[in-house]
Amino acid sequence: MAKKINNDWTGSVRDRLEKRELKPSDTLWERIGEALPHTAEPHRVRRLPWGAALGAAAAAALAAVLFLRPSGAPEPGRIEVVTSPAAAPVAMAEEAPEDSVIPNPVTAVIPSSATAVIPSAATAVIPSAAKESVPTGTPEDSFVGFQPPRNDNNVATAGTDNTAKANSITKKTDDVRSMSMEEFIDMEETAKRRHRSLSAAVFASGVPSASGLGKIIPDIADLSFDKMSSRTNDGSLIPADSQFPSESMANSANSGKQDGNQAGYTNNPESQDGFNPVKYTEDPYNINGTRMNHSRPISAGLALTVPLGGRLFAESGVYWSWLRSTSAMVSDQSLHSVGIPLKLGYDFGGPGRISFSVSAGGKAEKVVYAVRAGTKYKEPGIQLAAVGNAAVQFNITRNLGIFLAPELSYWFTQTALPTYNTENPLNLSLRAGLNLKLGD
Amino acid sequence: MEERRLAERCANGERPACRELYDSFAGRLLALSARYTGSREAAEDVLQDSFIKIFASIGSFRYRGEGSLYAWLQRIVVNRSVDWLRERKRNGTLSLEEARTASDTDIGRSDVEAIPEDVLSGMIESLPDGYRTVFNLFAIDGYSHREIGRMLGIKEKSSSSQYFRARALLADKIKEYIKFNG
Repeated sequence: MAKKINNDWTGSVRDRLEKRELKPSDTLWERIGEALPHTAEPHRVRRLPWGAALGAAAAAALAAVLFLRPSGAPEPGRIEVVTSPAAAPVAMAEEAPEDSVIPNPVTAVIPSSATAVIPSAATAVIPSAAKESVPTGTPEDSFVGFQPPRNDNNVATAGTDNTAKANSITKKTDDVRSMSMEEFIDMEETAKRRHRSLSAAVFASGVPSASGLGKIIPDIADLSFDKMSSRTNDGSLIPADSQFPSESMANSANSGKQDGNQAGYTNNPESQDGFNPVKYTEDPYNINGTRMNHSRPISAGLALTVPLGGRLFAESGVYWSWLRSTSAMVSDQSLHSVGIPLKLGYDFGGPGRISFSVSAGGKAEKVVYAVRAGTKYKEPGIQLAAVGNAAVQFNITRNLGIFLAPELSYWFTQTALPTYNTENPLNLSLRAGLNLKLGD
Repeated sequence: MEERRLAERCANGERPACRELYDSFAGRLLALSARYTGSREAAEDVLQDSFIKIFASIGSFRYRGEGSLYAWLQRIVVNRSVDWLRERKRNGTLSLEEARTASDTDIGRSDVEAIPEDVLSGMIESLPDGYRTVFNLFAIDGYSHREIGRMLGIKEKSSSSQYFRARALLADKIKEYIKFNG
């Protein structure tokens, strides 16, 4: 932007020529028109009814919580062949046509088992429009067509009341003016899509130990059988591979330090003062007197983020979760689940390569393989949880970022088999992974 | 049609809206392109490419008030014109001419206002490519020398010196015209 042009004859040249017009030749429009069908695809501006989609998703989640319950557990000792995992393939976004402004949307294929939990809400949230026209986040995100007004002295000004903002605006205009056309158009698209890209992420998560909830690195040592143990009231350790409780434990069991209910116990893994049984009121598997040491769950999966408009986005995907437990009575218990989350989020953006976002929603898990002491069990129900997280992402490149996201979950429904989640329905986990932008 | 609505309809691919956009702005943009390219034929080629790009990317246009649509179009045409000049420079056809040492202090606004628009435009188009580009960018379209340096890949100081040489050359032409045409 010209800072100041002398009030001389060049100003007169500008005044006379900047609005001058020439008549184009008759064939020019024909030449442009011939190219139009190939380069200017008709982009339907369809406003996503995200309000209706949000309402549908909320209604579906509420209906699922109210009406879906895990069915009764099988008879104890029954061995069932576990069915294969009901994986939920998600079709990735198609490659964006070269000239399209926004890539084509994704279609999520939800398996029938999860459809009952997440019906059309998923497709309602995931846009079906080829393109939508959305407002930008902030006026300063991109400058299109903005030209500071000029005063009579040909000095470009941006207002006298807000000099700092005017300078910022002018600088942005300067940057825009200095770009090549490709960079200019690319900048527009980048600014528009910076927070609103279709992206895919791979992640893993674990639950930090409660004693070190502030720790960043999950305590994965507990996953080792060798280190898993329970303590008696006197603090002595019971080996994890012990088949029978020690005598001291048996004495403790009879000492009244536990309540009279002979339902199964689970050891509170976070207890710092030794054995501290937590009554497990439901014992469909009739596992009495069994104290369980539950490993903190770990999971890994794929997430897909779809822009909704503005800074809003929807996130879904599929993940695998592993819950391991052991007890003094039996050997290990292992539950493998497949889950599908559905969340809505808001991207705050951030300075430089850092960006922040929050999301909340729900997730549904289905145990696909459960084995305890060599016996396979079937968990026919679906576990539902509300989930929320806050994520911070560092963009390594324009399209690839690494993120860290503490996530809080609350499990409304439980498995029949006791696990870490049944004992700690409200738990904090830490997700970390890579985020890849698609369609840029 | 209001600019915002026009842009939306063009983004929807409505052919009549695209034609209306073209009819509304092509004349002014052609004159703009001609100032940079120096020839009518090249200006139309640049304008053709520019409109193709405009219609392909008009979905990204955000209305920011009256005149914002033309400003957006203008930037695309200026950028495309400069790209065209850069391509010519790569092909070795960009000509530079040492400025004469004429002074431009003895002409004023009244002298310029006495010259017909097409003659004045022709004078600018006859400047050497480099001078013409810098003069158009700085004096008429309001870019700073820093921005011009970035666009053209030259130093800010070079842009400034090119501008003053362009001014001197143009002043020479103006004085010559006034001398022979009263």
